[in-house]
Amino acid sequence: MRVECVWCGPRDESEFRCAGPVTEPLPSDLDSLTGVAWARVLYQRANPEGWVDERWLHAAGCGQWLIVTRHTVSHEMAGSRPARPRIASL
Amino acid sequence: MTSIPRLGESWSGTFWRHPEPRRAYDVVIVGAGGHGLATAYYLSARFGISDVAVLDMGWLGGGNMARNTTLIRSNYLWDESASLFEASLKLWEELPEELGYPIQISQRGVLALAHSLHDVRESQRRVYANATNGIDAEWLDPEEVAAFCPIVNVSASARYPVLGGALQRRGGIAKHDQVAWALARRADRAGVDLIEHCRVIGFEYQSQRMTGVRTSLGTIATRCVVLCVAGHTTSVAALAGLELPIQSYPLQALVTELYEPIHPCVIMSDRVHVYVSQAHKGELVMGAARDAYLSYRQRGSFGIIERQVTAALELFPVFATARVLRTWAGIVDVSPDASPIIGSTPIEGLYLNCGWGTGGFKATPIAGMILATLVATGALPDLATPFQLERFVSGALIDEHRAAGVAH
Repeated sequence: MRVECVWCGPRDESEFRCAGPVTEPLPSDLDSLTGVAWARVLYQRANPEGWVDERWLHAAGCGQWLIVTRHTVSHEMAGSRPARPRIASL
Repeated sequence: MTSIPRLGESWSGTFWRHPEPRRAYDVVIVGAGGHGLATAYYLSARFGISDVAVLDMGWLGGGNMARNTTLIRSNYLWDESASLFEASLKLWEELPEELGYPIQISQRGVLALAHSLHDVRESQRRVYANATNGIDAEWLDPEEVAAFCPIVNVSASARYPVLGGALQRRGGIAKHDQVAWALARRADRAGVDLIEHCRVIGFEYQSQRMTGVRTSLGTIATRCVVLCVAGHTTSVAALAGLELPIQSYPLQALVTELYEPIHPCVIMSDRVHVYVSQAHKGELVMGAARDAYLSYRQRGSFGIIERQVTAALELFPVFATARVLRTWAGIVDVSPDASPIIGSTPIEGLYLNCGWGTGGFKATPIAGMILATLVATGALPDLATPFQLERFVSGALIDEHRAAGVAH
């Protein structure tokens, strides 16, 4: 599989580390969360048979984090973007 | 009962019927892999419940049941896992006679190598923990490793020096396909309908009570549904509105061409991450860590194969001329603590069996026994109660991720 690095172009997957699907932002009311809500925050992750946004680190390349949209059945890629827009603008 | 033919004899019998699904069953099991078939078998054999359908979107035993590396063992660290897998191993030991069909269980010993001081300490801790739990386990020093498995490179100059190993002599392999066929044959004879190429497309439930299953072959009424769909758990459970802490990854395996018997046992190496046995037929069977990213594609990354073969060649120089015949992957359902999730759900009559991750095959009999008991009596056996979904809320995890030292 080839992963499209925003900065380096398409590179072999062996140059990257996948850190899993993008997670939802932490809830703002952490102090008042129920046990069930905490379990969801800690353990519930996306696992679609289809498109997923994932965090990939170009570890053996530019060292930048990307968000890659990938299909979990076909492994087709539908684009990458910088994980942190403020870095991309530098 | 139809007799099983010997080699070379012609045979017109069938292992199981291919019925059209009826409109209603007492129990519908989704997934005709090892766990689903074992559940059907124990339901009929131990509890006299045979108004049961086992549905599979593909063919019987064609998913992870055909794709694992056939290992059975019970030398887990934590008490909960140890008692679960030891109960499974005891059932394995009864199965050949009980099923009346050769499933080729070979308790040739599973030896986990230690390559560093940390490995040695961790392995010895596990040996002592196993012994405390009444599970056979022993520590071998390097000379004993060499005597037990002469093809392992124990020389001082080895890339991965062998400092010893933890051995479970009762561990070994079983012929996975034949296990599936034997369970299917028994369940079929008892009246269970095994329905292949039948995809579940929805569930029917009223006031949180299961009433039926919608399938590609029509709707089937039932009060009780058991999910045994491994890597597809997330998608199937979502049809009932359930959200589960499961992620699906490919777990790869490969076989070489056939060779004369050279490898007498099962060798695992958590540190360099490869496990190797030799099938009855002669292929070297190898497995490694799961792939690094979510996937439902049953093949996996080549990089994993490259790493595992590199490690295998360091451990077993004799494999240098072996040729890989084929590689494949199964899609495994991994839970946050690498332990299974078994039990009831918020929907009455819907039972879960998932999260077995990379270790489901060895649990085939106990998963079936637990689910059959749960369905028949409404109560979860004691040894399964720590493995319920509620543990992710209570925090009582059974963290085999760290304990086994294996990337699940």
